[in-house]
Amino acid sequence: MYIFINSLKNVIRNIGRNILLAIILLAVIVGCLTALIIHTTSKGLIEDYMALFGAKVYINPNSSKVSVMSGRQSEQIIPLPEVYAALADSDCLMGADLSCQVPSVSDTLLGLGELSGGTAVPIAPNGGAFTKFPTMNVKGYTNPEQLDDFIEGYRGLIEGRFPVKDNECIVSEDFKQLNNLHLGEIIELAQGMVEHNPLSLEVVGFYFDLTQNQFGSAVDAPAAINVRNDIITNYHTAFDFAKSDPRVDTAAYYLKSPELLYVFEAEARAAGLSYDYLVTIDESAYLRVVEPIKGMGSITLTFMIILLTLGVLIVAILAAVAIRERKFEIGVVRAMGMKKHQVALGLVFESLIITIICLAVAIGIVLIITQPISDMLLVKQLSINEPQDTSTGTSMMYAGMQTSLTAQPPDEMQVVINMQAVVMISLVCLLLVFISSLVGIAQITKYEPIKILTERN
Amino acid sequence: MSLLKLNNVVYRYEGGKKNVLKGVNVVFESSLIYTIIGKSGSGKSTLLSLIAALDVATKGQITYLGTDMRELDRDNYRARNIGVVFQSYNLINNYTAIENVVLSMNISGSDIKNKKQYAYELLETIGIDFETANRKVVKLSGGEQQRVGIARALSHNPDIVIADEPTGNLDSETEDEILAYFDILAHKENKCVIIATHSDKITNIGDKVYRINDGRLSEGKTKR
Ligand SMILES: Nc1ncnc2c1ncn2[C@@H]1O[C@H](COP(=O)(O)OP(=O)(O)O)[C@@H](O)[C@H]1O
Ligand SMILES: [Mg+2]
Repeated sequence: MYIFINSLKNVIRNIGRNILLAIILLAVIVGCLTALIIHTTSKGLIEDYMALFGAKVYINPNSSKVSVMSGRQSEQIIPLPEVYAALADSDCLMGADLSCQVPSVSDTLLGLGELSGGTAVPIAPNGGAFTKFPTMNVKGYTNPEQLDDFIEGYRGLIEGRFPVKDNECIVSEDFKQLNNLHLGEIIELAQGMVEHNPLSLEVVGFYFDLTQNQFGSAVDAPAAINVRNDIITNYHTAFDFAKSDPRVDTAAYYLKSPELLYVFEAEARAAGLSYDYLVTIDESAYLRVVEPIKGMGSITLTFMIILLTLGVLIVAILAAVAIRERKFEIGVVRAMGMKKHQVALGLVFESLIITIICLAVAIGIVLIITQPISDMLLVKQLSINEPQDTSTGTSMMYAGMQTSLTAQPPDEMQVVINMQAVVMISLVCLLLVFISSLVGIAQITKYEPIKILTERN
Repeated sequence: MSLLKLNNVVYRYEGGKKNVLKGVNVVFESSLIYTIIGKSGSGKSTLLSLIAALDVATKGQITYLGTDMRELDRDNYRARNIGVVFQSYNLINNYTAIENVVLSMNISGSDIKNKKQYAYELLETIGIDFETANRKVVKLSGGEQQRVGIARALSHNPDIVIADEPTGNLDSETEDEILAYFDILAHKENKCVIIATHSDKITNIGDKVYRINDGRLSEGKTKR
């Protein structure tokens, strides 16, 4: 007991040196704790995103192959409905979102932008019959209500309901006004590109639309790509309507876990999915989200390792200096009969007292500074990763169809001070201080006191 | 049984070229003052260090109550059985006088309840007042440090008290006081007191006087 009290007094007796030691320790601990907390937080975030977006699988046409093969028989690159059906039953899946877009024409309906933009340009793909240039798009979704635009409030139902049965549809308010539509009305459409294939849809709802067109404003955009001309129906209806038309389909399947991707792809190929379709996780979104956080994780880890190494070095040097300065004192207490282990215990106590005080102060500081530092680093990481985003813009023509390419990079990372990080770093610090003081102690206590005392005199 | 017995003790410092003690034979008993006189460098401090068990003899034997020092728990022996007044005081400089004394008591495992009180009283009897006792050792004069060293040596009530040139830094009045105190220790409190000195004046208080010359001890003239 007296050893501990004496150690406590010694900490105060050597206050000058101990304050220096404490400042260095404090810097190391604060730095490491901050880094570790940011590191573990970002690791946790990566895992969350992995689970969320890594689990979402798309089946999209391989765009490079589509262009090469556009001259071929279109059936070859269209996934069979049976493939989708077979996949929907897969044991790997939690669910599926399928979509199908059919560029369409109508004798009775106008598309927004049809009058202002160049329209009615006759084209003859595949050497077939001349048809009108499409002025509207029939878009079918497995779950129309689950479209991000509806969920995020860019679109919203203002009248009626979502399509439930086959051959029901909803259209935008602008489209309704242009064509003077009302609920329950049957609209007549035809497939735009290849052959005459009429479709009758019952209008069951209208929605407001705040989404922006890719090219030009909502009113001015050419009819064929004007999102106000979307006629939203269920997947089955659109798919039947499309039949043999070369079109863009997307299929998003939700895996029970990301590791099941390859099992799932094998099932898809076995079910007859052509290699003209890619089975992928949404990599760009994944990278956009995970890369900045990953960057932060590794920055902080490197920082921590450097700091810790430096810290240990400095603490060890200080400990060695301190021990040398106190060699005589140790000789005296040994001469008075204090045992080696008691001397060692006293010195370890001193180190521990300083370290524990530093830890307590450090944790307090960390509580205050970690969040601002994390925010700062994240902003920097996001700006580093920014240019990569543009690459995803190329397929924007069909952006409206991609059910949800919405994995946003985090603009905020809520740092949680996890006890594990605190406990870990505390233990590491205590251990390091313990070891560095033991090294000095081992040196000093191996001598008989006579040596220490006569050396001084 | 004799208290301490040195039998043909030879000592050479670690890394030293020659033996500093060259076969010392001597016996120490309770209730007597022993003085050891010799020139500077003759080996007085070395001999006392071995008696204080700060190291063991290179050759030969030192026994305390019949037990070889090599087998003894020398830490315990230093803490409880012997009190040492060092030539160079060997106090801890950034401790106060009282802290030095109390630390020694703590190390010895003394069962005195109020150690601080006891230490103040001890310092008082040896001429260190309360105010001085609370000063750091660095702020004490040589004479004051010497007194604190004596108080520390006595604080755990040892059987043997050794003093290495204890009066070297003291004026003659103080020297007399201190020597009188050693006299009481040996003859009233039955301690074995061993004093090393190079001054003839001190040899006068010795019940037994030894001369040391180049590491060899010989019995000198005894006054009484
Ligand atoms: N630590 C040491 N290492 C080697 N030789 C030493 C050491 N301390 C003292 N000596 C030598 O031992 C001899 C005796 O020294 P010491 O016992 O201090 O003599 P005294 O106390 O009588 O003046 C001297 O020659 C001295 O140089
Ligand atoms: Mg000497």
